[in-house]
Amino acid sequence: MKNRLKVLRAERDWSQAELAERLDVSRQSVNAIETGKYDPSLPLAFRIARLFGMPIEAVFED
Amino acid sequence: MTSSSHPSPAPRKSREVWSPALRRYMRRMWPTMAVYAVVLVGVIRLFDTHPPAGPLKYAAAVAPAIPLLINFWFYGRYVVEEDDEFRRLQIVLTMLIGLAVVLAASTVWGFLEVLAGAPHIPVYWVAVVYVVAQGLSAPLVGWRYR
Repeated sequence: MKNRLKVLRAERDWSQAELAERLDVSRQSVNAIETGKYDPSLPLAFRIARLFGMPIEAVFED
Repeated sequence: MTSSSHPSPAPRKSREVWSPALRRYMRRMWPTMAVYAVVLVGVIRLFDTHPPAGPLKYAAAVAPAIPLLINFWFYGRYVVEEDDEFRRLQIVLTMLIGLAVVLAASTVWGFLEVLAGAPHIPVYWVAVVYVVAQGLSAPLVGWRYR
């Protein structure tokens, strides 16, 4: 699934590792989600959206 | 590892390689494998020197399997306790690959045994093939999701 994770991350100057730390997931998870190879579960998608302070649809595009 | 020039806290490296659930599994698994080794050696010696009879024969024969069954259970706990959902997916994929290899190998060997006179293999080799296939598939799964 397409998403804006990389852009949102860059705006805050966070590395993948830092984003992973804030979400309490592995860096591999962040990379897999960013590259569209893995779609996060609903709870994780909500956590991501909340972390960036925006609705899910603003982060993920289907 | 210093972070004096970096404003954000350094990521916990430990989480990257060994998740808490994986570390817990290792802590449970290794002592159990040690027990398995001791029981196995003991039982083999027993059958060599003083072969038991009756129900004791079966109990002794099954004894080495018990710690292994416990380790299979611990592995199941690991899969359930791993709270990183992506890692959990990767683990389950490796388990599926291990299962596929076991199904294929045992089916092929079964026909070879029955129809072509291939030597009989003790069934516990299924677990060995599964563990090896699962282990070898881990880098493949990792590469797929690189």
